[in-house]
Amino acid sequence: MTLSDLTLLAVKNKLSHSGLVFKIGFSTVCLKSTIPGVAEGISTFYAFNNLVEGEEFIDFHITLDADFLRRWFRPQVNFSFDGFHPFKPLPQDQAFAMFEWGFNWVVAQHSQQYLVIHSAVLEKNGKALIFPGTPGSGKSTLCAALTSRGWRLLSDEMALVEVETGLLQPIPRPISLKNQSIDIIKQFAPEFLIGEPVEDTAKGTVAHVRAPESSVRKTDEKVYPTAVIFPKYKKGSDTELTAISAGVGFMKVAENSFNYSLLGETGFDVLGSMIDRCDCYEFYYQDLDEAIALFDSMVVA
Amino acid sequence: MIKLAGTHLIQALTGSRLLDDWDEVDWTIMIRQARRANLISRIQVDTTDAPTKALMHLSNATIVANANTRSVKTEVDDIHRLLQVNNVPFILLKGAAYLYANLDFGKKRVYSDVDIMVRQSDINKAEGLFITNGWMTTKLNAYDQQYYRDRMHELPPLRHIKRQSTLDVHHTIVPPTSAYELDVDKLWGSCQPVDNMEGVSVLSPVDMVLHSAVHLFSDGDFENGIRDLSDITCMLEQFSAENGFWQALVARSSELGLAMPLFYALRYASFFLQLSVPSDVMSECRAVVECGQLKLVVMDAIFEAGLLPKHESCTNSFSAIAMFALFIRSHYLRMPLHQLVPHLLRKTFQKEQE
Repeated sequence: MTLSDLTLLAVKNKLSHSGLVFKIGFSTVCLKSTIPGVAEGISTFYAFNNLVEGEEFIDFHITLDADFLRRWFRPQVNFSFDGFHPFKPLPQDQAFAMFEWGFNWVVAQHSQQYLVIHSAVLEKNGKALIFPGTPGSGKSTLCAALTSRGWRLLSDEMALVEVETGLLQPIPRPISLKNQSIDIIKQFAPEFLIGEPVEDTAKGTVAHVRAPESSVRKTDEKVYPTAVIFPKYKKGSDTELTAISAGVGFMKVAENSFNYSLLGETGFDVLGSMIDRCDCYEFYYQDLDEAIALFDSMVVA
Repeated sequence: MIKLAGTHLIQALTGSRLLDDWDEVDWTIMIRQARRANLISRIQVDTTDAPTKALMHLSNATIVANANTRSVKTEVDDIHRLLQVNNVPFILLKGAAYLYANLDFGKKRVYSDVDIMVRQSDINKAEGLFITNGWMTTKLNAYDQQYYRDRMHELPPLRHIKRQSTLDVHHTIVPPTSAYELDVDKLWGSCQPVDNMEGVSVLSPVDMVLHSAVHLFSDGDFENGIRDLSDITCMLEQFSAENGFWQALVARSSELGLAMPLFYALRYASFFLQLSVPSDVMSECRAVVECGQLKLVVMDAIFEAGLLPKHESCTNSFSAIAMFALFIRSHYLRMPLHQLVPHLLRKTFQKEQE
């Protein structure tokens, strides 16, 4: 049973009482909230995620709420995780976005069974590409574009490289588009379900794209990475893929990892064997169709 | 009122046999309480029936604690390099001291800051060295700066500009304005050098216990209450293997005027964490402390609530009252009333301004 089998009212009920318990990637999450808009956001963007009905171990308990006065007076939303409040409250219209950012934090902090790399991950024909990206690199735009052209979305935000096996654990969630890329993707993929843009967030204007059902259904299908590509959107640039050395690739991935140094020697070993298995590239692009054609050719069956 | 001893966290910490009957919901509650109490890296379970996921979160916590241990060592090395060339000897306190005193639990702990003590005569020199070597002061408001300098036993916390780590530099272990009349020279007199680190020491075992006790039972910071009580318990378990330790501990507590915090530490460590304290030691401590039966009943209730993990599964309406009582008590112990009242008024006003 997935969230789409519940009515909005049922989702609201669960959120405001014992909590809505559902699967995101490898984890079981219990979310509570009475903030307006959260139920709508969750039931839209996590529609294909499995509900958990029996009593099983829950990894992460998350609450989105507000202080009594701040429910009405300049309404705010607060993110809490087991009594911790890692962030300052945000305006209430950013409640769903706050869940997304907060959940990124929760996973990055509590998932040392993986090497966690800030990147988009996509797969086609059994070959997975990792796109690490600093803000502004166009990682999410590229990720949304590839997803709309038959690539499986493993994540828009983080690669989870299993320490034990080196396999990538999918964690398909909404793709977070910022500023101009919202309109670009709306035109490029009109079939996508894209939420109302929220303005004036810390990252500018943000809108979320729902992860395709086909990707969410394959949450348990892990895959090995075959290439690491550092994208850079550059206006007026040709589509240009340049190989970089394994050493440079290693250092650049380490910089983009949330827990590389925390894992110590293990982090070094896991990243080392990942780089052994992958080709590393720098990638400049402007045209999305050209970019997709290039990556399609890289993963021909 | 929720009983501390009945919480999942305490059962896991004390290795209760009840764990054998736990279901997945019980394990979930324990992991949540342990996370909130900052004690998750100290939980060791020897049951094979634990859900794989619970074991995974425990092993992740160990990875985090190991990384934290490495970064504390880096910080201490950095501080040592700076102070040693400038001839400022220092004593490591609290968490970092547990590591360097080779206490078993020292590695199963997460540290948010490093605490050191320098001699009063070195404090200005030490502050100058830190400020000119990458550390900056955190309390920028003039009142707070003055408050720390006049009334506290430490400088306003320092933060490293690049690493964002926090450093507390003490010159004694209790606020000078408090009712304790502690002679800090006695601590220096019996401190123990750390191997291969010239100029670096840790407090002697008895003093280390007493410092942790006075910190927990006078400072009013119960945010990590049960973690701190667990630190004390682990310390005592390891130190008391030495012959004559208990007698030395009681004697030292009278000598330093720290009998009251020691009494509470022993009382609650044995109540809640099953520390075995020889009965004559317990009654000797009790005799020194002026604590009537009625007062003790009240203190027990307040401290128990203070020690509960600050988690929704453990707190109730009494918790807030108890935390407030502990806050008032800590301030009352910290300075006389004629200083306390203006201070609290000022802080209230300041908060509203922010």
